[in-house]
Amino acid sequence: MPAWEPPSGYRIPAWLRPPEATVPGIVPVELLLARSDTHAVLVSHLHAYPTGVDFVLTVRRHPGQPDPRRHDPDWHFHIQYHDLRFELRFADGHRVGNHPRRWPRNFETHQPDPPFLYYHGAGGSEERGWHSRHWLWGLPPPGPLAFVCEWPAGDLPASGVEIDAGLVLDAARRAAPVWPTG
Amino acid sequence: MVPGAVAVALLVARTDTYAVLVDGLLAYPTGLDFDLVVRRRPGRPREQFDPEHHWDGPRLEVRFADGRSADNDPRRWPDTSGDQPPDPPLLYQSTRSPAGGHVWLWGLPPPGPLVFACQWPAGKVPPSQAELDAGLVLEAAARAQTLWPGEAPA
Repeated sequence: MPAWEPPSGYRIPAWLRPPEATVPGIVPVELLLARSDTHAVLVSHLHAYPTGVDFVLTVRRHPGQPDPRRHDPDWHFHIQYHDLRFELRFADGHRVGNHPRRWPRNFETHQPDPPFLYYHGAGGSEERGWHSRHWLWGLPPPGPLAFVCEWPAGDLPASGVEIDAGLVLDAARRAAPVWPTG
Repeated sequence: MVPGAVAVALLVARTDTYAVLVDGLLAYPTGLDFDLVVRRRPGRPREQFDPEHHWDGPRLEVRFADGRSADNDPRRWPDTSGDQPPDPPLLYQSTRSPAGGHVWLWGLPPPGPLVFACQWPAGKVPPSQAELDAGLVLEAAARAQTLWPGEAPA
């Protein structure tokens, strides 16, 4: 069976994906947001573009812990899409989270006001952890940028890491078009 | 482990239709994790690949300053069913799709230039390459941290 193809000419809106024709600027940090005796939550692959930031949120299980999928085959789905609460906090007071209820009703066809946080893929393995990919539409303002997570079911209280948003803005300036115009 | 991020994205090859990138470089004491990314120029039609074959993606080779090299051709991978790990370097591509794949380089490069070379006949991409200073990888690997005491290096 051939792979599904989008309708000819369809382009995923810019607020739902990083730009395809741009080499990102890499933000040189790896963030350990939370760690317990059983699990850890990390943010990695921070790729900055002129229009936003793409990154990966990963949950890792301590190697000595039993595999929760033995009791719940959809464990990784539940944690990525429901149980794990994630939020970005900006210096100007704006906040965006990973819960779809926060998305505007017509976000797929109408450009939302930035900042807008959208997840666009998930997967992983027990060895590398279970990850979900996020696209932040809109760059953060200068100042502190906080990555905060909370996982009540996993006994992880709200905790996070703060970085200087300047690292993201500098990386966004290093992004370059793959195919220069002209 | 929490890996060390290498703050570089490499444009390895570019034609009028396709670009091949290496990005998401994460360094561990035992090797380097990264994404092989294929981008199609917006507005350009897809190539008509032979449906009888699996996705024939870019062939990627890494070349170390000491002359050693490894590539992502599964036919060159050693038998890893035994107890002994293979001699590095080994370039293992765990996923393949039209958008690229996920790659693990077993073994860190020595200091000096680290070359990423690719060619992709099915996509009409001629042999091309990009390089970075392996010192960036080694510095990032030195920043990697264990998550829990007693955790394996990667």
